[in-house]
Amino acid sequence: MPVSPRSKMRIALAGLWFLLAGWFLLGSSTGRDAVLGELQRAARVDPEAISSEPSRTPLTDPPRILLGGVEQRCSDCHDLFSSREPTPATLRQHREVVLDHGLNDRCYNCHSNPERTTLVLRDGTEVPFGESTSLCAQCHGTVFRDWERGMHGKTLGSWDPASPEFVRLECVSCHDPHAPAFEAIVPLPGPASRHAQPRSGSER
Amino acid sequence: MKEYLRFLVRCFRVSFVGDWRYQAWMAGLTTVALIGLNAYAKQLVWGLGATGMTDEVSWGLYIGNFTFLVGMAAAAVMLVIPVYVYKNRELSDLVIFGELLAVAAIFMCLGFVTVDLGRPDRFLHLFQRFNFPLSMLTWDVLALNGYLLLNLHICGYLIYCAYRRRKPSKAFYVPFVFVAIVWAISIHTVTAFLYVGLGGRPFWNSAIIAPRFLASAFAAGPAFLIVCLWVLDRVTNYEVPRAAITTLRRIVTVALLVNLFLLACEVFVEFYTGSSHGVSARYLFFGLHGHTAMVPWIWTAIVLNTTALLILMTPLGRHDRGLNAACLMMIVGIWIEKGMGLIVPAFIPTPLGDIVEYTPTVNEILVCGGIWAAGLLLFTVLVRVTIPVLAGRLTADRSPATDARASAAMPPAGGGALASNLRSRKSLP
Amino acid sequence: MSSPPPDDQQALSRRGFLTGSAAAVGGASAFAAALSPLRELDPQDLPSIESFFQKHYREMDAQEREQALARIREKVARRYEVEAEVSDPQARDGVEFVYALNVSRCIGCRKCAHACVVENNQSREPELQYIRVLEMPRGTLDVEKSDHHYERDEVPDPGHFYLPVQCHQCEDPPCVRVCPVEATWQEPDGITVIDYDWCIGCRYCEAACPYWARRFNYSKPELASEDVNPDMAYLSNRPRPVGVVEKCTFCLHRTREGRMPACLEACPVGARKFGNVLDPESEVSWILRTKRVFVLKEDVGTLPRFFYYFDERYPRGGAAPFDGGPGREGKGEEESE
Repeated sequence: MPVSPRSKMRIALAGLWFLLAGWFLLGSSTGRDAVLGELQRAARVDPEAISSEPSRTPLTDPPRILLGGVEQRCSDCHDLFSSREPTPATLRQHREVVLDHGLNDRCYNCHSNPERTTLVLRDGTEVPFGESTSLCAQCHGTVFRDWERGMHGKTLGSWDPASPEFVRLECVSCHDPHAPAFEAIVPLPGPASRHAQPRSGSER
Repeated sequence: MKEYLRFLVRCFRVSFVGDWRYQAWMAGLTTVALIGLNAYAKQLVWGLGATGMTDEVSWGLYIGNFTFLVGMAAAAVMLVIPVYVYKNRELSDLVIFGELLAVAAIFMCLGFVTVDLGRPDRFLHLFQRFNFPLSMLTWDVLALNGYLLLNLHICGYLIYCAYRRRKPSKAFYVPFVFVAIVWAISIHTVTAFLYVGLGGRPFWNSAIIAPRFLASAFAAGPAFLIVCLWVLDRVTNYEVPRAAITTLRRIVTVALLVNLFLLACEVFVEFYTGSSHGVSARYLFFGLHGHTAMVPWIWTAIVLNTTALLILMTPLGRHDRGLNAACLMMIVGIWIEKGMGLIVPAFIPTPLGDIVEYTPTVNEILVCGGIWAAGLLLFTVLVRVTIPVLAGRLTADRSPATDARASAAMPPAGGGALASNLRSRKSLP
Repeated sequence: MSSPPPDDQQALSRRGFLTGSAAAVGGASAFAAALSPLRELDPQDLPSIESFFQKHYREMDAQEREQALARIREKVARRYEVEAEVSDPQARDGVEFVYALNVSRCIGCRKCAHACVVENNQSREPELQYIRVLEMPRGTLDVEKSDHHYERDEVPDPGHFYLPVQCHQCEDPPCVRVCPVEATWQEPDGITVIDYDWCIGCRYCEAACPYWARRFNYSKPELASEDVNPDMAYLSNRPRPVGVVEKCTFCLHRTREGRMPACLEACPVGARKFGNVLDPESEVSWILRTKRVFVLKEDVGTLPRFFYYFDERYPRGGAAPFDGGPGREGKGEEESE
């Protein structure tokens, strides 16, 4: 019996379909990497760099400092030595102190003499280290005003001023009183879209 | 009811029957559609990351094609209005093809929207919390599905009446035809508003977008029909009336002219005013800071559209070859203009000024190809079934066997029967 | 089908039947094979019956919400082997959250952006961030002149200022308006949230946002077990599925319990301020009352709850010479890459 043209056509079609099915099953890759291509990976960031802890740990009362790797109280030295007004040029002991506070370049502008465990206001009132903000306020009036309202500075714990968790950081929690300007820092990595290869996303 | 089911079954059978060209065409479309389905299955598994879209350019080829096809669907109205409103006789035979094209185009639109969804498994949520009338997308859902139903009803009713050799009752379809006219305008307007309504995308913030959409739709849709009719004229013995083609050519010419005029208006505003709102347009036409991916596309579109217009306005357009070339050019040109040219640049630069370009992936292109193939397959089947029915060769009182055989050789009967059957539509109020 | 016609006997002959079925079987197998990539689907990712029929967040009663939270807990335990604290804190009465950012202080270090990722369980592969820090040339607020990808040895650069942008929690949010399924809405405390179990992933909201604040999960978000933050809430930082949109929620799992958002806590210079604008003594209220405040892209009219402000202050290291307007050097360098 001769093969009718219709049957021929059907055989050809069946062949085409099976070919196609075979290609779908074997020829085209379906895995994640094949379909999505290389994805942009997020940069790993040091948890320290994004910590919510204040950037500085200010001195507490009574103040202790590290000198030669040993924690010492102010009186350990200052009880023994006289307290002449030093200048940055004559400052020999506190070498780690970089004084960069504009016109405010005299130790006794802020530190009490001879009682080193406290600070001192311009009117001679002694204030403990824990309340140093009132000292800063003497000169930085507008900033202090803003800080009081929370428009300057950093608040942690709660956004609600009525909450017991609400903590407004003091000036020295962020600023070094000897060099209050922030130092420039290395920015964290930018968005990944231009770091990775452009996504191909195609097959194979 | 039983008779209707029998009708559907017979239509289904007829759609498998045809000469080798028909079979090859259908097999080719099915192959492309299956490849697209395969690509979509991959996208379903791994997510829209399989496309070239990003957070920066969050709509791409899918929505571009969707926009273009909404226009194709709306274009049926360019045949309906002359016939039903102005009682144009030449086109009355052809209206049904326009409506069938609308059905196929909406089918593709729904396909493109579906593949663009991140969670197609949740589409039922649309029925549970439908943010109407606030979201323009819900308007579009209603408009598109309503238009699909309207056209299905009109075509289905007329074809079934012809199948049963009944005279269609005007009350059952003429009101729907007039509703469909308004609806056709609305689907494209609503789709334009989808974009225009976004205040954060200055490129789309132009009242001219909706008219531009309509003009381009009224050019591309009938152009597509001209090409289809030419093919039908060649591969079947259905004779397309010359006068109808002439009318369609005029429609296409005017629509394309208006489209280019509106484009020129847009370009003037964007560039002459020189405000920063024109930055996306600058990217589109000339590139921005060395990013020029879209530039060749849009200029290709402009060249194609302008050339098409020149052909149409000169005697070249009166010849089949010239006309078809012009039509193909403008279909491609408008496809670029509305797909790549209207959707993508609105996302570049981002609202925050970052420039990330968009390149579709192979997988994405395959999915698009698959939907196009499926839509063309549907359109072919619809036309395949409609021609013998309206020509009176596939009717209820003929045995089902004869239709299979009669159509196997592709209509042996003359076009006269078709014409006379189609005439039933001509006796309109 | 009806009886075969006499002249079609040939077609229905044995061979005709065989070839016909071969074509049909071939077609069916090609169709099935086309769908074969679906075998790669992880059964764990398929929605269970309960989660498939889970109601919209706002339609759930207390019990249904509890069940939804339990499902999240289970899923996190299964996938990450982490015991998560999944909560569903509600907006407090008399609270409307507002963010304020001091442009004079911001140094562009991007710590906020990275802290946000860690806090909110964002995808690490691909990377997804809610906060974008823009480096702006002086003399303009046109974000088109910004550089998102600046790489410097040190920030701040004296010739630029920095503009971090995240969700502005607008009072008239276009993203909410356009969502076709109401998967995103504004809460009474002003935070625009998304029900990740309701979003259909159409990304219309992403197109609508004038601040580019929304992100879409183009692929399954990958997060290592050790990176999971177990403090989660339904509406904020619980792990998201593929194919849905997500965004900044002002860390509502923290802020609705009175805590500060993670981006604020990570800021090394105190440029970020957050609080209840309905409380006249809150930090943000004072800022809005007394500072020079502006919003980004005011012209789009979405009434953001994210304000930028600046105070009277010299730039660090003295004033840099003003070069007469927004320079394009930054962008120019990138072009050549």
